[in-house]
Amino acid sequence: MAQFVWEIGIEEMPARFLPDLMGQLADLFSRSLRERGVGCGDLSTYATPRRLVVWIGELDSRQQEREEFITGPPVRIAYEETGELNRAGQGFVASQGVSPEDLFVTRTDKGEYLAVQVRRGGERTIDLLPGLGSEILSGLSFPKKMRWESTGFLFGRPIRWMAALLDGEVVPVQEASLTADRYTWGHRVLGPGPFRIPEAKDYFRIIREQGAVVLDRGERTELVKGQGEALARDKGGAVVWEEELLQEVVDVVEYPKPVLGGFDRKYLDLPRQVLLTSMESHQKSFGIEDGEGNLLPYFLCTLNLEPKDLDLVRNGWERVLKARLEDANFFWSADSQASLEQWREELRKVVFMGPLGSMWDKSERLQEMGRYLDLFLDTGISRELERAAAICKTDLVSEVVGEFDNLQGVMGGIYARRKGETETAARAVEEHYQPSGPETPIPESTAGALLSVADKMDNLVGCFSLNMVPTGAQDPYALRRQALGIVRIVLEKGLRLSLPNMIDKARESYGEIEAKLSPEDCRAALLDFFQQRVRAHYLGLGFSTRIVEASIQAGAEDLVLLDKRLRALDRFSRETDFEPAVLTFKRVDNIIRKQGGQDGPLDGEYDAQNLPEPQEKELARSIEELIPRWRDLWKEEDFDSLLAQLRELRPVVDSFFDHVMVMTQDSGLRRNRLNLLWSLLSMLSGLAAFSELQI
Amino acid sequence: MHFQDVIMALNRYWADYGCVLHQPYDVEVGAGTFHPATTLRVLGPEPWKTGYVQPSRRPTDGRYGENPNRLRQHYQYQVILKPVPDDAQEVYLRSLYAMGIDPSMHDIRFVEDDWESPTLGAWGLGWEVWIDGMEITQFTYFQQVGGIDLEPVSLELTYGLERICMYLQNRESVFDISWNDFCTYGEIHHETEYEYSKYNFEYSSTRMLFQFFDECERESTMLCDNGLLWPAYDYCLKCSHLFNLLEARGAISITERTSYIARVRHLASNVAGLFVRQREEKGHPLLHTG
Repeated sequence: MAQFVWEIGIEEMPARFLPDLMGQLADLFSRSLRERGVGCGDLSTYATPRRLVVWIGELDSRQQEREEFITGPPVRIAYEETGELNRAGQGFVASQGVSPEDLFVTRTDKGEYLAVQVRRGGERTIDLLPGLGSEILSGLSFPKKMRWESTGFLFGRPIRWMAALLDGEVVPVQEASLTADRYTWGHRVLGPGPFRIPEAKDYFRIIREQGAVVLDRGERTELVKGQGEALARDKGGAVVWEEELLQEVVDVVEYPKPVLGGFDRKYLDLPRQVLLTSMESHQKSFGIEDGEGNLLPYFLCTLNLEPKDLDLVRNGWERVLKARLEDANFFWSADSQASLEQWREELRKVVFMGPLGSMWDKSERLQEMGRYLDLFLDTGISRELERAAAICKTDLVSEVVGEFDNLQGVMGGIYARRKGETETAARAVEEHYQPSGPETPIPESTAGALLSVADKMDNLVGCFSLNMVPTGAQDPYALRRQALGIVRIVLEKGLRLSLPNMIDKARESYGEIEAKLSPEDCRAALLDFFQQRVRAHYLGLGFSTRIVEASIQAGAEDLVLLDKRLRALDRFSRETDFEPAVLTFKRVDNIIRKQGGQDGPLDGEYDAQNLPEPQEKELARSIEELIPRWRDLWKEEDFDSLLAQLRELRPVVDSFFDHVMVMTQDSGLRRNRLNLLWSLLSMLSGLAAFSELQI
Repeated sequence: MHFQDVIMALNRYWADYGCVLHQPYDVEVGAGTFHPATTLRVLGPEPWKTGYVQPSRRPTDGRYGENPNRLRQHYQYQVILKPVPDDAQEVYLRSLYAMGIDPSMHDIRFVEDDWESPTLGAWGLGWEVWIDGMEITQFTYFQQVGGIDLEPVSLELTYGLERICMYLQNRESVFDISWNDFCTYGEIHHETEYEYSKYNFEYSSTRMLFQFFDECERESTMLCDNGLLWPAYDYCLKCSHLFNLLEARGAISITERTSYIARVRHLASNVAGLFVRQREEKGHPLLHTG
């Protein structure tokens, strides 16, 4: 067993690549070892901005040996007439690195073939590692790769050195213009190096003690959090951590050193979100708040250095933040002087999308859509909703959002309150971009939820009308996210809306536009698009494909209704008589689909007198009896009970199929029987598409 | 250190490194990258090292001289090293000493910032360099210009001279930077910031600019057809600047924007292709100067 370490020294790799690179490196390396039959214990990977590291504590020093049986060319073409091997025969011998005496003949169905038994493997690991290493360097994938030197080698950022050791021996991995050696370089200021690594096991000590590098990102995270909290506590506060930013911060430093800086109290008059965004987005710093959640005039930044003069560095950071806050203050006070009506006028100049008019036009459409939704759902907030629709885009022309576009909506809400709008309207404006992702919360308020649905539907219908339909990875306007957003809002809020009606209404509100898709094509394409989102949504929740598919195929226009049906069907599918029931009703579905058309279209009208067999009389009677009850249960949307009816119906249907020949020669009778089945199927098809229920 | 001293210090450092010290280009440009000493010289196999100051005009960034941190024209110090030295980052960090900044005293960061110029058909990967949280330089490995892959790759350094000076002089407004012992940045540029902002946002004649754009485009194409790539490039640059002026005036809609950018990129690609051929025909003279 040997120990192995490999350090790839790079110029600063973007933080967002690191977590993924660690995973890729571990996967590729383990797989390559496995493929080569080299056994090893646990494999760990580490990453900092300037290095990627692989460590294996226990690595076999030799590859496993194995016997291989290799078949060559047919005997009849492998020899000269003299009995000597010809070119084909010799080629086989040479390619396997054996001598002619090792050959033997193997008999197969196709005839006699040359064959040989060889021993493979058993090579020294140290001889395999260089090839494995360069294979991995070429195999790592990056969002973007670059060239930097004459070899034209592609990588995420330039590689500047490599160290690779198996115990005490250098593993000469070669790639780009570099060959691995036994030297490492540490932190650029605190431990530049180079440092000689005598043996693999010495690497961790050297890089920490001499190189001043904290290799483990978990440890870097703990350092930042621990020291950051302590610094904040000294000022009577706590850090406002942002998980994503924290991950980024620990991946841009090799030696994390949290430092608390301060700023003038006067900036605390800025809204919390503006202050936090100023700190976070530009300066990658965190805010500090007191026990009541009020921000304090401090920020936490993380240096990549133990500075000789801490004050000098801190002053630098404070100056930069001050300039940012001064900017924000400037924007905020400019915004305070504007009125919402002024901003609404300015929206006329803001293009929404290509030929679809301005943001002002959009806000007009949203008001119309708001009125429609309110009328439809009877929420009684029509006035507030309409007002929110009118002003929800005004913050786009504000100075603050011009600077921090991630604050759209949030600022709209803040300005609406300050400029005297009702809380309901302000809240709706604030929430109308939510949900921003598949896991993030939807709007809490009803007005916010409705405005969000209206806005997203307007975007979707606009884009689809221009035939800007997402394909593959191409979804520049995040239409998938928006459609999923509507699905989530409708379901979580229980909004009884019809998707096709909503689509039509949204298209209507566009008036005359230079559309590339007709309203009908646009509706069809969008409904299909929604179905895919709905499917993804339920599969994501863990429902099985067949349940989701059977429920969607039975109708996905009213999503709340779909949800009830789907959940009932899912419960039913866990019961023991589910599968026989499915088989029975699939049979009905099959016969209608395969045979239904041959005597002209069916309509479910059958003549109860013209059903000679007792089993079909029984079925007709059962259906007749069921109809009123079925209607009531539909009205109550009691899908569990509806599905339970299938239990009672199943023996009747089974016995029908056992005794009645549907496809009889008598065409009148055949049609009558098919219509009987059709009337049954038309009841069932609203419940689930049985054809989709594979068993 | 005065503003002009910073320029002199960088000139000294990069001259000693072997760079040709170019002078600013005399056609309006948005960045030092547009200077032909960068755009054209990074093409092809010939080695090249240069450093120069380039006044860079960005009409939309104008704030009438009211914002202490924003300018419609600023000064960039631009360096090109082709091919890229193996110790590129160290060479850069040493240039900071030349301006009196000891990198070992400061928190220096290379923060991901990829660069792209759609009008030049150019892109590169690299960083913005932070010193104690402040961005002072763009550090880019050029990958492509005029749609042509660069072989070898060039390193482009772009120092923001005003930022660096505000830092060195501890000023909170760019207009308070001392240019020399007698004169501030504001005394030289405050009025120009105001007047150009007025012009760019309020007074420019849209019709004239559109017409001029079309004429410059024709001129550039005609010159390219006749193999006169240097004057052709000037008219390409003019198109780029005219586009910026039109954009500042809000005269170009989002849909039109893409097509205008494509038109300028087309001119730039033609010039770049022509330059590559011309150098080839001349037998790449700089390959043999050692």
